[in-house]
Amino acid sequence: MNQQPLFQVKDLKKYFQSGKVVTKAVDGVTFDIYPGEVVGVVGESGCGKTTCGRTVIGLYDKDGGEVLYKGKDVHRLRGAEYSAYCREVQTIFQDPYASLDSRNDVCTLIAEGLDIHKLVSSKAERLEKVKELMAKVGLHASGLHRYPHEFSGGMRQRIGIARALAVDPKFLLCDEPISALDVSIQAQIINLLMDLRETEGLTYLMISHDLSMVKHVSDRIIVMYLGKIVESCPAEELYEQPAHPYTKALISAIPIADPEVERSRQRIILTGQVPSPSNKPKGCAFAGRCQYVTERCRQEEPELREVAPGHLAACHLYNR
Amino acid sequence: MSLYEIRDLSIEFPTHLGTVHAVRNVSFDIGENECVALVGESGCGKSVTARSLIGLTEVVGGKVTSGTVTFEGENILSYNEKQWQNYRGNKAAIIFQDAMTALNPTMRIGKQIAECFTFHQNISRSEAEAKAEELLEMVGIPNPREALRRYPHEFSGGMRQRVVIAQALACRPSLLVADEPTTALDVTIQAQILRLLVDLKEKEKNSILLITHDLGVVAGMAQKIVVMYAGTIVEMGTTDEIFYHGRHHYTNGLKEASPRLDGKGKRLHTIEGMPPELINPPTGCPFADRCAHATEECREKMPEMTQVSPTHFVRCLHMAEEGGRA
Repeated sequence: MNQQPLFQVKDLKKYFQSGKVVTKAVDGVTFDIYPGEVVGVVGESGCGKTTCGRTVIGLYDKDGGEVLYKGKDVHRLRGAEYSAYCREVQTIFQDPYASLDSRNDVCTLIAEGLDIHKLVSSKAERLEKVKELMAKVGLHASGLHRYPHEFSGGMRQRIGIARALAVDPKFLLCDEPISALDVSIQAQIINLLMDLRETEGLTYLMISHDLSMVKHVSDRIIVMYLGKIVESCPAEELYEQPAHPYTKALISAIPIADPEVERSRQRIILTGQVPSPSNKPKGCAFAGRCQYVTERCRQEEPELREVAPGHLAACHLYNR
Repeated sequence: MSLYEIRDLSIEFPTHLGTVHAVRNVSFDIGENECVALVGESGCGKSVTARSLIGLTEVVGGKVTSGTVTFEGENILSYNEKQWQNYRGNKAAIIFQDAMTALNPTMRIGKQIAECFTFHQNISRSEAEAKAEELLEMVGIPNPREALRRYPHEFSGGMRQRVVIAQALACRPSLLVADEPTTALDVTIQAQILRLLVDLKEKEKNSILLITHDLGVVAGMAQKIVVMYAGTIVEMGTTDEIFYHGRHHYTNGLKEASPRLDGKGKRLHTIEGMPPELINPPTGCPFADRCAHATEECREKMPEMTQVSPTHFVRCLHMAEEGGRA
């Protein structure tokens, strides 16, 4: 890819302080997102994936490093530039129940972005645009003046997607977009997001703990552990040739809906607990749970380096 | 001989909008030392069915309107409160999805586990605590003696779920009802807990009724699968029959709807539409409105359960062809 990246994330840090305890939720994360790409971020709860996404788009202030959107520092945008940025970058949240204002009807909810950015000049145009958006995400126009509580979870998530699309964004941050939904509804939403990628030319940062879903939709996957990237590579390669021992364990832990495969699988069952992000051990954060651990791992923190073309991993096994 | 025989079980919930027919004429068996999985989407009645086996239907506002659950020659649905108390925890126990809310936050772990012994068995507190320590060791909690003195909030989600499992297995029940036991946990922790449940099942020879929406979990654990949709069983059979010879279009749709880690990126199969309301459930096949093979006949009358093999039952008039993998 010779294009200019849409987002350039360089050594991004986000710490949360509570009293004297500092939680290093995101601790030096570097990656790029190219136009048209779907980048997936996976990891267990508490690994900093949500914080990472939110800090990247500027919902949270950063504590170090920088994020460039089309070459400009996201955290320093002001005035018209900031307003334009807000139009181009939108978010879909996890919980379709909590992310919609229950006192507004669907029309108001979807048109909110249109109103804020003054994208429509007349009431008729506004209504037309809302209806068009509803059709785009598979909502029936009869729901125009209904309220969020009258819709099921899957339908609400569609309202959330229509809201994000209203301002013609270039980039969508999807934070666990389907984990609150049922299996048969999940597939509907995933297909919708992938169709929109084609028709609207969208770029996604897809955050999820569901590795099978992330692998299904992403071009590139970033695996996070305790606020750091431990591995980053093309989606297929991550499953076929995972490099980092954590990624291997993560993949082997995911149940596959096929009894024969399940019976013949060799599971790597991780023992031990995830260390607390406010009290990280010295050396590699995964050392306490890793079966290949050496003395070096406990002393020295491995750097993220290339183990194969386009495949990065942070592990001493690949750097003897 | 089955451990449990559930016959024609129907459960209703009276609400101000009307009566919700949550479970309709459900019949299945749970064999000894068998793991049976109840699979379905939210609202299909799987949890309600399972809770009736430990007498928690009324607690959540439901009412059993018909059917029997036979266990050791008795219909447990006719138990009075005293009999239920003797049965719960002793003969059958449940582990819930959310271990934090299942444990009492103000009581030390040791006391919560020992409670099961002091209630059901006539033993002293110190004996009960010693047994609690053994249990904690069995479920893999490090430093069990020290753990007895700690409170639930001092444990992580996975460790809490282990405590709940220890509590459930305290009196060596014949049946362990596991209601989404790993849904709130991370995948690596989920793998640990599932392994623990399988190992304990081998050791304690108990049966498990596993309730889940995750077909992956089912594939690795269950011997038998019961697929529920809108309060009824649409298909049941052995794990291989359901996965490789599924005949109901809902079962097959569900299998194709979840992306597989070992699959190549292709478009996901979707089941269009949504499950029906259970206040006025359709008279015909509940899946008819979402089914590509539905005819007028399907909408008119609920299809009968058809036996296609000694262990495989399907409720469909236009079954998928036998053969091959879905």
